[in-house]
Amino acid sequence: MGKPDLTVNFAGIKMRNPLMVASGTFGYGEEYEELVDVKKLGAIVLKSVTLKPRQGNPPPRIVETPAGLLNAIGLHNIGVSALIREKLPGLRNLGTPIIVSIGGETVEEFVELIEFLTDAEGISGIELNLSCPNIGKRILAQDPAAAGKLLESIRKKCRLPLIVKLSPQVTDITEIAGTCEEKGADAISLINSFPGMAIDIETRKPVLGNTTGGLTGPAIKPLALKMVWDVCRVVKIPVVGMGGVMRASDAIEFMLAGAKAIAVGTALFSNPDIIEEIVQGIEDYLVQNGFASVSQIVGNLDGS
Amino acid sequence: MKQEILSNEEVAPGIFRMGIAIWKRIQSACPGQFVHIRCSSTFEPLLRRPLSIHEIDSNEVKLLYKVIGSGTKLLSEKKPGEKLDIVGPLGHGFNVEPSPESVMIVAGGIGAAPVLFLAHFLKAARKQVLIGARTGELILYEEEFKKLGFSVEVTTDDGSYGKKGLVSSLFEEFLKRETPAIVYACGPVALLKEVADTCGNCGIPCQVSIENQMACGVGACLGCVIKTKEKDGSTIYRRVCKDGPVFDASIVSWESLI
Repeated sequence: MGKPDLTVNFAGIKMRNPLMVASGTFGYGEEYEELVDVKKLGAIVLKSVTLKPRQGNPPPRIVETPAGLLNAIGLHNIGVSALIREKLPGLRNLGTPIIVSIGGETVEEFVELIEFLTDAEGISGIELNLSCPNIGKRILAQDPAAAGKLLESIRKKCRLPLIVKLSPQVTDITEIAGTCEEKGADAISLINSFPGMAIDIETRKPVLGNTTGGLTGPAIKPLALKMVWDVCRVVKIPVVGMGGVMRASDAIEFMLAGAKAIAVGTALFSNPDIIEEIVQGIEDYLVQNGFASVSQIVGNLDGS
Repeated sequence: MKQEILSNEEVAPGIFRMGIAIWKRIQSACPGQFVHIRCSSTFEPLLRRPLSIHEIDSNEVKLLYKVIGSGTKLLSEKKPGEKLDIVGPLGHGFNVEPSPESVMIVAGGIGAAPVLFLAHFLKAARKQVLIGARTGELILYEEEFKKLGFSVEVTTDDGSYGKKGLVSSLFEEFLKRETPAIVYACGPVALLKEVADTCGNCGIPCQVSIENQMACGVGACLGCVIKTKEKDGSTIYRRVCKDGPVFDASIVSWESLI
């Protein structure tokens, strides 16, 4: 048997393998250049940008927790204009699809962001960050009606594949996933971090400058996996699964649950070689189990 | 990258020195840069630990570290012959050019780690180091600094060795007699602030090495930022891992760190 086919056509984005780097963990694609061969990645999702640059939250912004990492970066970013002017030219010729993540507080902001980006050169897709838990009180990802309205407003203006990123901070995640599909999303990615906090018992103060943050890492994997499985059972559009993927077996679990692509984030911090190791692990698994292509394991969960 | 551990000794209570086989990129490291180490093969602790480069010779990189939490505890238990998952050099180090006539290093506690490496790069005619620690047995590398042509003055909090008192007070006294052309400082943030304030008042350029918790270590995640001042009076967050760990002391917003 020959080498299994690892390529994925994800909502029109042609990926050499199903592995993406998750937004916020890989900067603007250049920071890891000495440590990670970007030509081995399936796609790169850039750090979320907003219409205007944002300073982000006061430090401390990160704290380690058991098998996890709490962060409250607060959408610290250079803004969409600087992204297009300073970062995209260097990313165009990498040969790896670039997905731009955008965040906004209003429909108008998202519309303007889409107008900036839809004709910019070198972008393969847009990820809508409706779920950054660290700005404001209520997030778009908690409000299916508002998210649906947003999609209606931007769908016709955007010629690029639209991936909607969901927050786990909801009662029933399938509800908003269904709305997004109905209103024209090309794909869904989930999940963003879980809200959490840590307290320093000596100072009796919250550890994070923002008081609360988002939990990522292996601690959230079973929670994320269940939500991905829930969503994959109700939508037909492809899904990017993420949340605590630390090794090939985690990625395979998400694919069996129905995810067509996988994003890795926190694991990169402890192991910059993680993507290559996971791709190799998936390939070995396909060979050992007699699958000719990675698409054969997507949703291939026995007995569900 | 996996490199062989050549030695790992407790050189003072709770302070270890580890020797690691060199690799190509580390040979061009600048003083003040750091390496990022995975202390466990599991994900507990999850993040790497940044440690500044203490010395580099023809076949090994030396790190000097204090056992503080779970990561450094695991590191202290590693044996020669084991392989260490290590990345580096990373970060922006000390600026040692052009070499002025007189230089001063102020080091507090485990702050001696990066400044010994720095000392090898300083070519000034007059070289002075002030070392401070809690107690005498934590004063390390006094002889090494002397061999490199430094005048050494020592303070301890308990007076068990050298002068009794804080190294920041010694620094202020020293400035009444002499004015170095540049000051390099490393140690606890309270010390760095005092040295920075004193240098600011006297108009002496000062570079400080700042520690912080890091996640990625390469400038991607924006988790390790500190507040810094711009020329127009506004403030911005800069990354300790990429824009630092060495900063010009005059741009650091010290009030935000204390």
